[in-house]
Amino acid sequence: MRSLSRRRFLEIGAATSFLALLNERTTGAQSTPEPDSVVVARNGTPSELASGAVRSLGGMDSFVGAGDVVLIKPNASFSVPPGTGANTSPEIASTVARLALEAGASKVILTDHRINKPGPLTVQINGLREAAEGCGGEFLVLQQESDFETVDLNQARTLTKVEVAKAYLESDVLINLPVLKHHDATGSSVGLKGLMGLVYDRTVFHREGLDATIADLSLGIRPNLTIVDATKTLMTNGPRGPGEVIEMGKVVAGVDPVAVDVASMALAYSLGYQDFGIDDRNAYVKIAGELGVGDSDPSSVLARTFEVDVKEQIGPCPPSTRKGAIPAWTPYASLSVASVALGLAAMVYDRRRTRDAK
Amino acid sequence: MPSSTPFDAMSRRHFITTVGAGAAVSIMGASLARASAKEPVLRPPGAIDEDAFLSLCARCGRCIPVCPNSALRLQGPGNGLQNLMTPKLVPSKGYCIMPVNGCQNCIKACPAKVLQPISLEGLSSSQFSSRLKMGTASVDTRICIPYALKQPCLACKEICPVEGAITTKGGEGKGPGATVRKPVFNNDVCVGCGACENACPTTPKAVTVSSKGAKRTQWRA
Repeated sequence: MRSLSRRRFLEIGAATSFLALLNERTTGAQSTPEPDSVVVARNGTPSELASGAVRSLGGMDSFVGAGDVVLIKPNASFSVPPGTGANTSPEIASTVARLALEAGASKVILTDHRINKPGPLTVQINGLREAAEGCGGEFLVLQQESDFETVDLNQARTLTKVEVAKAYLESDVLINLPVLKHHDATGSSVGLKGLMGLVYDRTVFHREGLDATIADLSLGIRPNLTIVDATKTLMTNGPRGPGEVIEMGKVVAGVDPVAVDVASMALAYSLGYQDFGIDDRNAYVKIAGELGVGDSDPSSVLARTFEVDVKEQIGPCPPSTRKGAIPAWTPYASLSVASVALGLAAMVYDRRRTRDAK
Repeated sequence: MPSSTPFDAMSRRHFITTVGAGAAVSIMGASLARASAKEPVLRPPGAIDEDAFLSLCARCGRCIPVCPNSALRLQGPGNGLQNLMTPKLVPSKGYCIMPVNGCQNCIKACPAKVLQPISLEGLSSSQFSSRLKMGTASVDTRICIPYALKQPCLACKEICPVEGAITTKGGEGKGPGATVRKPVFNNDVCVGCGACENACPTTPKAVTVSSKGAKRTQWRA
């Protein structure tokens, strides 16, 4: 009967090493957010989620200085009411605008190039003008050619020149504030796709190929911070809808525009929505990664993605190197000890049973 | 017969001028007649029956400047004498926003009441075409980017304010080109507002809106 107990010991040992290996994979992720992290805020109202996500990245003060002109780019180009997932939530837009003003911004401008004309009517229906003006900001509807200026895109592969909003060129800080949603043509639309809202002639994007041109554009327009509204997400029939809207209840934020897109798409993809995958769909993310705009590798992005429960969050998160923190190998060690103990217990039990049988 | 040379000289000049003028008029008339064989004009929303429209429209042009989306133009001489100076919807310039917010500016501005009020209240956008139908959109698949180049586009579907007027097909496959969705135009649901033609990025436009299938109203005082 001795051989049996040894085998069991080995079996338990093998299972434990497997578990420990798995555990090592999970503890490889960051345990607290750092400035280059992607933060996924959950468990709160849209306003709490937005401010919680920004707080986890070090607060708005680390992005906006005193006297800065801050340009916020929400999705505001569709004339559909709030809650349908086609535009950024007005509540989140006003929260971010308020945070920027509190951080000392001299001027906060929300802007987007309308798709549904006339522009003033569109931002009245979708509630974004009210969101901007309600907290001391302003809304600039981009629609005249004179609102734009041609810039060269160095390193671009397809789109070498593009007319970009003057408001962007004149601003000190750009906060991209897209909504995560389905898009029939590209697969999904998040931050990089949303930057098309700062461009005059979008038809050239459709003619030259959306994936290549969106990636090229990300070379020319670099947001300082990207905050993604994933509270109510349009999962089908985007970008205008109407389609299936899911209460995702999350806000994703980060400095790396590509990584934020990857992490946001993963939220929807993990629910089984194939169009949010990064393959032939959403190929612009991969191309932007190749152009060096940001990190497009899903595994490395997920390794530095950090989930924050805004209800538990008190103040800015402490840095990961603080003293007295439980070391990262703790779960590994405790599991190993537990497995050895379990193996010994099994051996003792076996011996006792064989002895009783005699 | 007295030698009345001045009259003779005049008559020759007169003859030549008259022949010239006659030729010019007949050429213009022929071209107008040929042009009048073109398809009917795409009218603003609420337009009455075409025959009645042509006889009652005052050609005053008051509907043109009130359009918030600059979608209306006066018909020039290129489409028959009877259509001259009548209003038309030009989707390449702008599109009708009645499906978006129920705008009736052109209808209210019309003194001849050839544009009759239309109420879309209580209808979902997919039912609008039962009351509002200016025309129908169609696609030329030889130019349309997803059909011809197998590249993603759908600028038309993105802008369409009417649910179900433009749906998609394809895109479920894997690999280059197989994930591209193509637009499908549903004639019964389309109201002919012209938004899709306005947004179409190709030159010439792959998506065009014609007055085909338009439902006209009856004139009321």
